[in-house]
Amino acid sequence: MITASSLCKRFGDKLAVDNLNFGIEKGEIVGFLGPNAAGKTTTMRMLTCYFPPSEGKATVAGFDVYTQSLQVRKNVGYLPEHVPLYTDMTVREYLEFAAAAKGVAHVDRKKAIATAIERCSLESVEDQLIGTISRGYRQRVGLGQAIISEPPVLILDEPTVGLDPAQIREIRELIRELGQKSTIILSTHILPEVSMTCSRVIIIANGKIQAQDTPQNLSSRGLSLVPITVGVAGAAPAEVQEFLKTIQGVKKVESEGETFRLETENDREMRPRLARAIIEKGWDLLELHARQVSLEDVFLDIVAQSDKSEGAGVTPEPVAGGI
Amino acid sequence: MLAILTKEIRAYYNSSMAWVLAACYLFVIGLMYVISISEFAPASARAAANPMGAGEVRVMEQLIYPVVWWMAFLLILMVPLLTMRLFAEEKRSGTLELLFTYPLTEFQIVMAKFLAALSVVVLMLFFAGFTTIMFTWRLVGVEWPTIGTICLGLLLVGSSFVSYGLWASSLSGNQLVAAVVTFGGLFATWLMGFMRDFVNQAKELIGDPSNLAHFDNMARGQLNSHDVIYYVGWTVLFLFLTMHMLASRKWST
Repeated sequence: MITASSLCKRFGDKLAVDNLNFGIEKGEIVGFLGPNAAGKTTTMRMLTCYFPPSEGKATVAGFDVYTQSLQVRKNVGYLPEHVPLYTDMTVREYLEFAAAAKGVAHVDRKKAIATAIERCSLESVEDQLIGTISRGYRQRVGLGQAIISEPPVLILDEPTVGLDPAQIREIRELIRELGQKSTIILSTHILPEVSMTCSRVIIIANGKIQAQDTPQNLSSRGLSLVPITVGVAGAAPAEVQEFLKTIQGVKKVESEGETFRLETENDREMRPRLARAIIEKGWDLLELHARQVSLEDVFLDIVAQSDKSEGAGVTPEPVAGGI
Repeated sequence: MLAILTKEIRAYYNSSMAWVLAACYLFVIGLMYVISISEFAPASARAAANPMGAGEVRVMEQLIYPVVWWMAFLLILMVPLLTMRLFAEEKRSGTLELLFTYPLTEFQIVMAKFLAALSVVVLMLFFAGFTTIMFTWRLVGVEWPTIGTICLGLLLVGSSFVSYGLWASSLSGNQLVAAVVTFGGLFATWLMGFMRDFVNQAKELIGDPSNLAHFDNMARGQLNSHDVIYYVGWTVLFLFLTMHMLASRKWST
């Protein structure tokens, strides 16, 4: 349904999106996950034909975003990040405008508007000015305009940002519901969101895809450094901390009274080694366990790895210049 | 395209700005009419007293022309305030981004906004002109062909000003900047008519540069192709520049 191959976007010297490759099948809900300024919005703007890619190719619903921009835009519903709406229109007027502007045939318009109002639960505010309704309702109006022409592809940029927990749950429900009919890309930097709504996650940092997999696989894939917690008694914490640092494979030790948080190279071999070393010292081993790895840990790890390789400075980013 | 046109017209209809401007415009034009009548009345009375001097009463020139000139001149003040929001407001609020992802071309967006603003200007001109002309017609009679060239002239002046204002509005997200650029540009272009040397040189190259000089002929009942071309060219040029201004988001290498 959506493909990107070697997709790049350059703003002056800055490479905002660097060689993205991905394919999204019909009916998938895919989450773009990444820190701010990772290139999520830029990618979405290319897919929605706001601006063309600097290099590479992308297709949406079988149409090229550059050469067949109009057809792409007919097949995409887009919700930009800050939900820009005409505040001096009522909700119904606005949806009427969106339907007409998106080319919904005159005879179908009434039905399309009624469907959008119903699916986004806008009945109670349909005759109010958009400027006077709450953030949560605005978000739903934004979703309403995106789905009004029943496009096969929906692109939602941070659909839950700025909402309260109850509203976030409602929007997530709605997105899952819409996902039964449409292919959806949503961007977010909130992790529970992707594990709850998305069937696949694409992690983007510094304009590059760092990982793409299902949320479950990502959580279980492990980290480059494993967090292990050890409880030791029988010696001064400072002494224990110094000792733990000397054990082979331990990268980092933080102490919190008798509890020590370690970051180690791996998990299977490290736990027995740590236990043996502490017992041999004659200290008391109170606890020893590897922390459950969450999607958040994986995400932060991937982003940190990406920043490290970006910031190393030894091999500067090869910018294809001279064009 | 019709969707945006309707939306823009509705936005004008719902905003106090258009109404206040129209009221001001009608009031000032009304005043100008009263003033020109008060100057015209003694002249016509003198002419009536002297049967030999009857040829001196020129209704179109003495009564209609001053009012019509002011109708065109006041557009220099009014149009900036009408056109400033067209793109600047949508740029600031971000709605333009969404509009660009709808299946609409830049041409459709620009034309819809242009026609919406022009329709408001035409409506203002119509109400101001209608009362003036109907009054004069009932009082002393008018020359209808001249009225025709005046209407065409006002329409051309209006559309050239609106297209320039539309372009100015697409420059930034700030409505005030748009209004100032529009007013400054229109006023300066009018003032150029007073720079005699420059005008004489420019006339050989591109014709009279002043934006109201070309209207002058039409207000007096002469229809010249170069006057029409001046306004049509101005309109097309700035509509074209506006389209490219909107497309410039795509240009970053």
